[in-house]
Amino acid sequence: MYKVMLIDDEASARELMKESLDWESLDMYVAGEAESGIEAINTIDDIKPDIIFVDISMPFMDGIQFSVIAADRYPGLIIIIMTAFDKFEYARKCVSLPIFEYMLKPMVRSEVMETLKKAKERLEERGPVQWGASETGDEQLSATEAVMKYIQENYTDSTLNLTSVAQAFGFSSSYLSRKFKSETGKGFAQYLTQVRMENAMKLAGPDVKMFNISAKVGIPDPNYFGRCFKKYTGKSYSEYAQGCPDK
Amino acid sequence: MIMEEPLAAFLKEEDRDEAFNLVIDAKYSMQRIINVTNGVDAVYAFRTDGLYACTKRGVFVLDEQNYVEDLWPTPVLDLRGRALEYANGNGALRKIDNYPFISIERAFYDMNTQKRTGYLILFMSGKIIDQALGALPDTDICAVGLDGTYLSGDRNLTRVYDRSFASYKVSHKMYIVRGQRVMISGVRVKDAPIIVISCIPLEGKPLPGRTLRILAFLMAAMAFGLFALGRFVSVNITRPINRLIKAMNIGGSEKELVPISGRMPDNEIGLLRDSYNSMVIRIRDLIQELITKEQTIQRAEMRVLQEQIKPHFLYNSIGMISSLALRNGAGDVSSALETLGRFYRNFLSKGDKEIPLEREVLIVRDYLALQKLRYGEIIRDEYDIKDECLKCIVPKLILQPLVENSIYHGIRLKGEEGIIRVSASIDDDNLLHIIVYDTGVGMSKETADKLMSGIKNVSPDEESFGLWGTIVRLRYYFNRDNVVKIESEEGEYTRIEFIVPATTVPKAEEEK
Repeated sequence: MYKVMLIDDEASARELMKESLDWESLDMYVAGEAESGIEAINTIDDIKPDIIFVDISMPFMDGIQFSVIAADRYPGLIIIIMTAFDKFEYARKCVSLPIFEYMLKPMVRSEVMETLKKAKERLEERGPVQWGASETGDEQLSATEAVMKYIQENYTDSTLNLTSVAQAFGFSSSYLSRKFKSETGKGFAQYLTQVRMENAMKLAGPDVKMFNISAKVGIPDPNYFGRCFKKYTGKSYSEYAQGCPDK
Repeated sequence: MIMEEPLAAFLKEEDRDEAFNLVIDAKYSMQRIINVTNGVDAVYAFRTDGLYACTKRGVFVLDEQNYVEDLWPTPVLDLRGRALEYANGNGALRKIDNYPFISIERAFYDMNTQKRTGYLILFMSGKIIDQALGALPDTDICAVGLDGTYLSGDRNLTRVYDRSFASYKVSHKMYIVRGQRVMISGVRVKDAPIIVISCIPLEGKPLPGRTLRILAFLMAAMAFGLFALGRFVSVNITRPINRLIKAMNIGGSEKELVPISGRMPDNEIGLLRDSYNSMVIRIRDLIQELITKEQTIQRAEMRVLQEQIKPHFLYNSIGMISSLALRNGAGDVSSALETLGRFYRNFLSKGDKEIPLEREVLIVRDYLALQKLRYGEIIRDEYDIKDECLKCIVPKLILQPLVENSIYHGIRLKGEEGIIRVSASIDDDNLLHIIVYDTGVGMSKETADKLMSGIKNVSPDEESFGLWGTIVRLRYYFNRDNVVKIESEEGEYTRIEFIVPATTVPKAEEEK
């Protein structure tokens, strides 16, 4: 089955897509969602989608910026941009991007189904996205520590993820993922979030606003940052910050 | 001199009272002539009705009777604009100090109509002749007018004036003066009303002819000088001013003001052009400023309008409500919202003014789908759109007002199920026929005729406004009058047919 990822800051829009379409008839399912481009960067390596729907109007990183990064890192990924007409011309200007289709909002089921059928044909023709299928195999990776060091130095870059680091080191992402987990006991994304959260905790204080910190540790989307923070520390940022000494 | 605008205006003015108001300007004009021209003592300008303006240096006494009542002597009129010169004003004018002078008179003709509008007299002081005579070594010389009146030189010689001197050939006469034999010679100066007379004692000094000729030459030179002066004024002042006025008129009649670029002399007239140009530029700047301001205001107002419809908000809300409905098991609500969303998406069409017929039909389909939800089974819609019509470009929203009429002014009034049929085809003349047919209550022949005829300025009643507006838009868009055919039978049906050229190129692109 092909995996679909929905990226839209409107939860109801994602839900509508997910619920109103007959995905199974197309041999597809919605494997993951993201509320922002930032979140998608951080989770896409785990979700490994074949098709993504991305809304153009999103804060912190809009659909075009995200598509630029995604098209570069994941060749073969089918990107479908959703836009209302006021951003349509803006989207059209990015003709150099390998965007599979621009769809006008509000989405109409029959049109979405039509586009997905075409996308499926494309996937069948060219094969699914190579999520790290090309193994670098034998090459000894004694560089896990170097990767960890690289993360510690670059965690403020909000576009950093498994694939970008793998590409920086010349590995396939699946190889890096496996190697990293076997040598550190943690997933790559988990480790990246850990580094970011540890730094955020150091910066936190009763008078320090969350959105200031979130931008400093490489998650400029404060909503997504908030969720990561709570998951990592067990407390919401404001609860945690109250307990910190003044900075 | 005749090009001096205020002077010409004074002479040209048909109304005597108006002309009276122009006297002052004319006087200033004449004053300028006196100021720049050496030797001119007075200028008189007479209108054909006897009103005159004058400027003078010294006191002149004019025999108005002579000039005004019989009007001027005919010889001048016969000359048609050429000047006639007299010594000492031909008796009609005299200077209070009795100093001699020469008058140059001419009739004045309007430059455009060549109608005689007045009469000009220019008085030259006799002093310039004194200067000419003073340049000669001989003292026994005298200049007189053609009638023998004294102008300059030895006054005694006027007594020996003889009519035969008024010839361009030198003539001689012998006299005995105080026991001495003298020869009196006289000749008329070429092109001037002046006769030069000289007296030479015959003993020892036999060369009067030569001196006289030199003198005649000098006089001719002076007459030429006067002509040159006129030329000078014409070339350096009058013509540049005319050029300037012409350039200003052209510049002013252009769509927008343009600075003038014609060649102008490097003097006050050049300055005039420069200040005119800087004024033009300043005016243009101000206009541009106004336009920019106006555009900013319009943009702001547009923005407010757009904010009011804000499709993004509308679409997101439709999506949100649709998802809510779905969550609560109301799939039909979700479907209706989807139709509404698509209707608005096509209805707004990215703000395009022209769209393919295909999309126009889609708007109608969605519109009718929603209306059917409202009015149930009362409406049945049918479509017969030939494939070759789908890409034809039409102004946006030409069909929707029609089907709206079909519902509200046709079918709903009938109280029974009605059919709305939309069809389109292209004929052999490459004309697109779009037909909206409904089995509603129909319309009267008068209404149909009124709508079909050229009712451009008829303000239509509320009911047919949608159709009227659409017809006007089609006429305007396709730039042709015959765009609509309306057939109807009251109580039976209405059939509205649009006939427009089939084209797949939007006007907006065509213009690019």
